[in-house]
Amino acid sequence: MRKRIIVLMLFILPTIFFAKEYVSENIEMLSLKNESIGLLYKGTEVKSTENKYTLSGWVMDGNEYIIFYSDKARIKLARIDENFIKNMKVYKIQEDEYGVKWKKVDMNFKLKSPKSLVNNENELWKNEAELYQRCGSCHKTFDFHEYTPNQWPSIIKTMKNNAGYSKKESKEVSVYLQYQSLKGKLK
Amino acid sequence: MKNSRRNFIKATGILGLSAPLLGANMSLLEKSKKVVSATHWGTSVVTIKNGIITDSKPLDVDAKPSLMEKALKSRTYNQTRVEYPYIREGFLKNRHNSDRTKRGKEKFVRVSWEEANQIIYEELTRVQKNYGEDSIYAGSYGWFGVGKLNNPQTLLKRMLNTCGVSFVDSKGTYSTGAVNVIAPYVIGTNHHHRHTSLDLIAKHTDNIILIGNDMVNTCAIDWNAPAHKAYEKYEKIREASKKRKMNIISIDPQITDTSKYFDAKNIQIVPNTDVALFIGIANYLYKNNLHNKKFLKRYTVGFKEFSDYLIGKDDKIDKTPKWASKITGIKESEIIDLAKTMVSGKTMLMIGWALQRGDHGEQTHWIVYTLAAMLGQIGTNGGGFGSSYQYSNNGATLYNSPGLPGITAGKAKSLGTGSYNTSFSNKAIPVAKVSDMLLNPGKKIEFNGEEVEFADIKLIYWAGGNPMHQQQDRNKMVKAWEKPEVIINQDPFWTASSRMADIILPATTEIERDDIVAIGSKSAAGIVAIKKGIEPVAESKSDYDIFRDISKKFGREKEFTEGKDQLGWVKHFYETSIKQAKAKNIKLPSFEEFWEKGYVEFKEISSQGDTYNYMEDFVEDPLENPLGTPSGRIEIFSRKIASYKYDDCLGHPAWYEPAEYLGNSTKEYPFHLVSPHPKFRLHSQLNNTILRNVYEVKGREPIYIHPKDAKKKGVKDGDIVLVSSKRGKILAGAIVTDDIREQTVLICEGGWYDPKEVEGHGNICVHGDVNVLTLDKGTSRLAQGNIAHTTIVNFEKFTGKVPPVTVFSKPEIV
Repeated sequence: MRKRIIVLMLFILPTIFFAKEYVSENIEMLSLKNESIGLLYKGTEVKSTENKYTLSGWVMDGNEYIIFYSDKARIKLARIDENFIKNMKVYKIQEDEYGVKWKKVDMNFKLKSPKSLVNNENELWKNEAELYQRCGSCHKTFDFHEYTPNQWPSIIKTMKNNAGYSKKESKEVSVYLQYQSLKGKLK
Repeated sequence: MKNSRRNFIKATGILGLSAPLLGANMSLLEKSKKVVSATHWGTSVVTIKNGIITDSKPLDVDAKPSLMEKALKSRTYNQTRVEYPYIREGFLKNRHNSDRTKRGKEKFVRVSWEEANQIIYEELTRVQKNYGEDSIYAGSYGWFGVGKLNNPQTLLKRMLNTCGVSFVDSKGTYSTGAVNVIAPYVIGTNHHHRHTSLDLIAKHTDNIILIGNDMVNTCAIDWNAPAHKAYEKYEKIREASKKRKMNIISIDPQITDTSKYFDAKNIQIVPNTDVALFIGIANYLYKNNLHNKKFLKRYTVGFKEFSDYLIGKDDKIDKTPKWASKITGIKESEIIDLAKTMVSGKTMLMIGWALQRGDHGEQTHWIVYTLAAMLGQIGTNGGGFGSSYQYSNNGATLYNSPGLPGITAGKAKSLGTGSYNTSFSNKAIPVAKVSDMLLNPGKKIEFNGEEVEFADIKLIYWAGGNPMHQQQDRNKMVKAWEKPEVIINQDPFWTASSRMADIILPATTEIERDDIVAIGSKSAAGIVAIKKGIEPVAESKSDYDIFRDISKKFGREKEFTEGKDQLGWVKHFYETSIKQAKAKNIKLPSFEEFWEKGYVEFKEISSQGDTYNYMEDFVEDPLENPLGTPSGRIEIFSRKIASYKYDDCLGHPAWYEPAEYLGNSTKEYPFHLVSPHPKFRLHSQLNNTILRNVYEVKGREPIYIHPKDAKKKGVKDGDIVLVSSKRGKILAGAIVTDDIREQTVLICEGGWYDPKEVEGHGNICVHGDVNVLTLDKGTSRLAQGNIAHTTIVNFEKFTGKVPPVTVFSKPEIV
């Protein structure tokens, strides 16, 4: 019985100490010394312990100021001030099939307004899902995985005037579609 | 607040009328009025007297009104209007057990709306219950009437979603089946991207290469209401070409209206061989070190694989201009001159969509993107490529405007499924595979890196489209159309698709209903009201009302309407625009003011001309502004496509011999047939109007024949000719002209299908539906687009008794 509890604790503990949370609107990132270090984008998943947060992602060698979801899916997670790139912890470096070097990184930070985090990913995209339906007023809406996370922003950029998206809306819909596309098959 | 149309008329009607009539009594006012409306080919002020349209003229916002606008009255009060709901006689008697080979042959019985809706409700429910979620095809496709509310295809899906009916959808379009799939792999977006402005081209471009591009003709129509703003820019380019040296070259089997407009040099290529021409040019540039190596290195991936192919590293074929000359019928020296011209100055490659509606249509755009990359002028003023200049006035100035939303396909979520997709079924087909799907349920085909399994379709619901014109190989399609138990067709007209259905629902045209639409898809120059000027013809109803009433049968009316009537939605769309306009500091009039005036115009973003330059941001910083491709750069070689291991679409652009072309034509079928977009129609729309008198020959769709070919075949201008392919026969009216290349004939798409038994020839189309002749095959396993332009035919003077054309009158009604 005791052994079982220990095993159970081993599973539960990390989820207590490192809760998964999602950014519901762009939030300013602070260093552990409370300096402004960058911007965390809506949709980004962070791990939190009390008031400290960790973000994992990939950066392009020589252009480390944007943290992407992965080397294959260029979903922007955060934009980091050039002066604080040094705060990133690099785990591995690999070259993609096109010869570009990518670094897998972690970054610890605090948040100016942690209220902008939610626990349930599905709560994030209500407005964007509605906005996406607008595309259907001219043509059939595409299944999310018909375009890759890399393609969606270009597609929306192309079509945004027809859907009547404002600049802000078009960015939000793009990010929403990038995340939905991830759930489908990566092409 | 619920919006009542009647209240609205009370509030605004009087102000909408001309000043001299103010103060007169209402009955007098009703007798004559002017109402603003719109179609895909124009914005109109319609004069209505005693409830009848007497005249229409274009709005001033239209920069270059099309003759098609004049057809408004003829289209509205047309012989071919479906006036009441009808049901095929055998279907009414035996329902789904009817003899389905009688479709298109049996008489129709007029029924009430109540009866039609009840039967539709019962059939949708029965089919769904008995055959499951993949049994209804609602991939309904077409251009329908313009309007942000009365979009029948979206409304059809909205009705089905709202009522919990699952359906199989379609993917892609007939127009852009191949380019829509290939472009995201190569340039990271679809072909709808905003193009380098025509202003920049007028100012900077030295060489305009029109490749199967007849924009002066095809930009007459617009996905929204047209503003025709590109025509002002064409004039600017034409003026510029007179003042400074500009090479305007049209590569096309036809001498197009665009070529004539610009007084272009014509290269009348063997149809379907453009890829070979551009490979020959690429080979010349490469071998003579004329390609831009710096650009290729920084902005593209995979040039090595492509250049190996150019010189034949593996296949040992050096694809020189001489090699290309043999395939394309263009002199080697002319190909070399063309290559030299392209590198001599700023070159804009303007490729149309026609080319990709040929076998291996993916290659045409891929090679043009590749050639533009080799020239290295992409993102520089007036250089590069554009693959949609011929569509909806692309390249015209963008106006400072808000967007205008429209009705959506609704939320499947409201049924508690948690899905926002437009269909629960995952068996969507590439749109041109409809005949194959119906004929081969359960069969699997490859498509864009995936496998699609054909559903077993028992019911088709088509609204606002004419599949019996769109789809290739009509005789095969007619067989396919015998498969489903039920076919429902909703349209204002007795098109062939209406005639081939079991249940026919009469829809209104624009002037019979309230709606709203943007002016200019690409320019966004304004918003126009589509005002109900006359009562619906006979018992026809707006698409919105038709689907609302069907939803009511399912007890889902409220969910369908969300509590709004038509004018309520129109107001809602406009007021969303007002919100967007505020955010952009644009002042929009109130809805009431807008509706009274009938339209609102926006201002150009810059009075100094449009300076938009496609891919400029990417060229400035390819890391900060990557393309949407896997590499973020232009993919001359696509690892992704290569990974599919398709032998009909390799990882780089390549020349593949088409299934049918002059290079493999036979004695039996020695001519190549092309079927471009018509000048006085929107595909098959307007074929039933007075405009037919402008272009038809002895009541038949025209066929362009070169004088030498006509002489050989003993055909004279004005003769009726029998045109045949392996797949069928049609009659057409001969126009003998050197606007078409030798050994090539041209029949525009969209002539209405009028099948009749003709002695000695069997069942033929006596009017000239070109898709009786065309081949139903996919471009490749990648895109599965249609290949209408890949067809060989023969023709002869028709000597039998000439059968009458009856498709422009009503079918037999009990």
